[in-house]
Amino acid sequence: MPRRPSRQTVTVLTVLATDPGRWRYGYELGQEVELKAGSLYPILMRLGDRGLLESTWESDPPAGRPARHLYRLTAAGIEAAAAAAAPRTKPARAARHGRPARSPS
Amino acid sequence: MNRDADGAARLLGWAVRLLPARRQEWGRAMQAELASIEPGPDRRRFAVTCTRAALSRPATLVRLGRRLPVAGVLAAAIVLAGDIPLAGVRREAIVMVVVLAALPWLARRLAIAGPVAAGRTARLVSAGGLAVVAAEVLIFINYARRMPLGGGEADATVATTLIVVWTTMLTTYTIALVRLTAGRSAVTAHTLATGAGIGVAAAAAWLAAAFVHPEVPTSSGPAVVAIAAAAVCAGWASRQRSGRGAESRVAALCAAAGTALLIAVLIDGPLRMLPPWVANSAPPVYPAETTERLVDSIGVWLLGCLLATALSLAIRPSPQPADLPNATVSVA
Repeated sequence: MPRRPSRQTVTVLTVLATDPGRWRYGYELGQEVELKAGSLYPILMRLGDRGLLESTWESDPPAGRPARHLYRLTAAGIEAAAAAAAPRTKPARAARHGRPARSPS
Repeated sequence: MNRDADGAARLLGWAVRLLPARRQEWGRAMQAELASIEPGPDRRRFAVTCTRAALSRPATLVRLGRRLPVAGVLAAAIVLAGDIPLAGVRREAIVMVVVLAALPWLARRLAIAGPVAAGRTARLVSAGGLAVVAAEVLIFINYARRMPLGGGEADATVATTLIVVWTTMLTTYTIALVRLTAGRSAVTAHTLATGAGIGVAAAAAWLAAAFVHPEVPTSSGPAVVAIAAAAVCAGWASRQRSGRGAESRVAALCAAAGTALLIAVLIDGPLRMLPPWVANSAPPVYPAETTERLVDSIGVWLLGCLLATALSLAIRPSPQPADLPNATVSVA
């Protein structure tokens, strides 16, 4: 069973999924999800490695500034974001710990 | 201030250079992002946290770990050189250390050698050989700081001559080593292992003989015998395996040069710290029969340098990776 993503990863996925067609750059995304660059970039790298994130370089940067790296979710990323946003069910959590789910009293 | 050259950009640039090749694009992404952030706390914070992220990648830590010993040796050599009494000699010794520290890096980036081969054997031989050269640099600098330099011109000339000679000899060895272990060299892993292994074994045999018969390191004869024996054994073993004369020559020269290097370093360093030996340059010790005066290592060094030069010239670049199925490396 794939590991459930961390809370920070879920936040990044959720923010990216709010407008999946839009390319975002790292600094802007970091401010939106309130993560420091040192936490954000490793998450983006992992998402990229898993095929959940696609990236490209800005095609027409303004003069005097280098092209930025831009990111958006892939189709698999959008699915992963939806799955991550879904609430965790008790049976699933109990099964992970190897014991039967308690029925609500 | 130019934003591309401020402290934040330099810090991040340094961290990005440590990232492995497959993460370089992410490093460039961080740098591009930094370029658009105005100077101030946000910019510094961005650079510091990106640097932390880059340095905490496992591959970066491994690369950093490989550089630490080099930095440690360099720092130790420069600190030791600081004790050399004559300022001119001190400067020359520091130049020697810097030149020898930069040489492998420079040679691997120029046509002299190229990057080290991917195989474990090449990496091991390269790291081991450079460690022995670094040990000799430390031994030499330690010797130089204890030289009785009275401040006269003659003393300074002797010290300068020694520094030039040792720099030249260690440069010869370093170039041979980086060429031998380079990715574009046609030397096979077996040849490399045979040459280096037999070189170490011959030096170990010489050392064992020295412990049994303390007079062994008092002349160059036994060292020359060990060097010759290493060359013959390695040449024979390589020919048995590869059947190629060129491989056999490289194995023989590698073993012989390696034996000479190890024996010379043993004479210059560890042996003179152990009883019953004293350095060739030590003042007279009485009663003389309780001590053995080590031979001046320069003879072994010069023989070793000739062998290392011959080894450098004997190494051919790999023509076609497909022609050399056992090659440690392919053309870079």
